[in-house]
Order: sequence, then structure tokens, then C-alpha cells
Amino acid sequence: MTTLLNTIRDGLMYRGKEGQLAWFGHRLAGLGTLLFFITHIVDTSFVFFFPNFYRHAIELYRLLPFQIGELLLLLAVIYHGVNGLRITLMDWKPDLWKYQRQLTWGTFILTAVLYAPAFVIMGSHALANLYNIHLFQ
Amino acid sequence: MTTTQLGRQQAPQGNRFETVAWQWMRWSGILLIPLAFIHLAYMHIINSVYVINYHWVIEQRWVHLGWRIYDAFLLWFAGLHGFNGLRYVINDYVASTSVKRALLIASLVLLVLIFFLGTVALVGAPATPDPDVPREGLRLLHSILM
Repeated sequence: MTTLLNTIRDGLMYRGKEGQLAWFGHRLAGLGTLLFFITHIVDTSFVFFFPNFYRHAIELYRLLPFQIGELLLLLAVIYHGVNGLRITLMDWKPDLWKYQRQLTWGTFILTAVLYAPAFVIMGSHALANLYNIHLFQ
Repeated sequence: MTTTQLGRQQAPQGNRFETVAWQWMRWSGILLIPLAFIHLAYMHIINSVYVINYHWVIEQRWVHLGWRIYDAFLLWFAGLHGFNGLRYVINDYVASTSVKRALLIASLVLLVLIFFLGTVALVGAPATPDPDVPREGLRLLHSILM
């Protein structure tokens, strides 16, 4: 616990700029995705184990708090994937380390570019079904 | 003589398991990019949680053996990638050896349980819906394809 608190405190004080932000985001996104993954395997297994309860699990995901969570999940997976690819590329070609800063910003930009349409389309499903607001009609 | 002795020194032997784990994160990560991105695009963006229900899963997805195999790959690769990541986090933040050991065992038990639930569901789910499960009424927005 002390180690974790030190990590958070030092993390806020240590001025690692975008590199540190990229590392922290990668870890946070990975843990968040793992948490959803565990929940998601349990609910999907209801299709086989408790078919009559599967609807209740899905109804939960349709509620606003879970829709916000799903939007965050999408951001987490896209960022973790793009940033993971950057890490793999830099491990493979160490010459790229001199462009670390640019590549990190490239990761943030590519994540935003991929996330924007996903956010709008997924958000439109939620708006249409929760509030009967239709963006594309 | 000191130099010769130094010259004879072998490079420190790395931990074989950690080397494989490190490589695993790269290779599984590369494979997970198409696996997870296609899954998200198809299930969360083209379709949505407002489309998905018991009958949809059985009739539109798991009726195809290909989707079951796809889902099995995603389950196993994401599971092993994710839990190895969790192991890194536990190793980084937990100082006490006994607490670390307990957490690692607990996460391993959870991993086995998740693999069991997911794999049994993928293999065991019927090809036609259970007639005792009521069909959900049609919803407003089905898919952006409509």
C-alpha cells in the first residue's frame, strides 16, 4: 500500500512529461480493460450456463453509467493498442528511441483520430436508445 | 590478469521465464490489435449492446463455427496478455513477499476460472436457441447498417 501511495505521490511530482503520461495511461488502460474483460466473460458465459439471466446482464450494460464505461473502454483499448504498438516498434528498432517524443505524440494523435468516429457512433446508439435522440436521421 | 578475468566473465544469466513473458507481451499484443479492434468494431460500433441479446448471440454469431473460434482466440490471448500485465503491476507495487504470493495465486485462480467459464460457454452453447428463453422485442435502433 505504501508503495502504491509513493507511486501516486512521486508520479504527480516527477516531471516525466509525455513519456510518463504515456506509461501511466498504458497501465491504467490495461487494468481497466482487464477488469471489463473479467466481467464480460462472466456475463457472456450466462448464454450457456443461465440463458434466462443473460438478459439482465445485457440490460445493465444498456444503462447510462455502463454506456459511459463502454465509451471509456473503447478509448482504453484503442490507446493501449496504439501505444503498445509504439513500444513494440521501439523495442524492435532501438534507432527509433531518438524520436521517442514525436512517436509518443503520434500515439496520442492516432488514438484521438481512431476514437473520434467510434465515440460518435457509439454515443449515437446510446442517445437513440436511452433518450430517443437520433443524430443521423 | 584482472582484465583477462573480467573478459572471461559471462553475461548475467537472465530469467528465462521473464524473457518469454516479455516476448509474449509483444507477440500477443500485435495479434490482439486486429482481434480486439475487429471485435470492438463489430460488437460495439456496427452493432451495439442494444442489438445484442440471447437469440442474437446464438443465431447471428455462435451459429458460425468461425466466430466461436475467433472468440476463443480473443479469450485466450487477451486473458494471458492481461493477466501477465496484472502480474507486472502486482510485482511493481506490492513489496511484501507473502502478500505478493497471495495476490499472484489469487489472480491465477481467477484466470483459470475465467478460461473455464469462457471456453465451456463457447464449446457448449447450443446451435439453436433454448425454446424456454423468451425472445426480446424489437428495439428502436438495431444497427448503423440499417
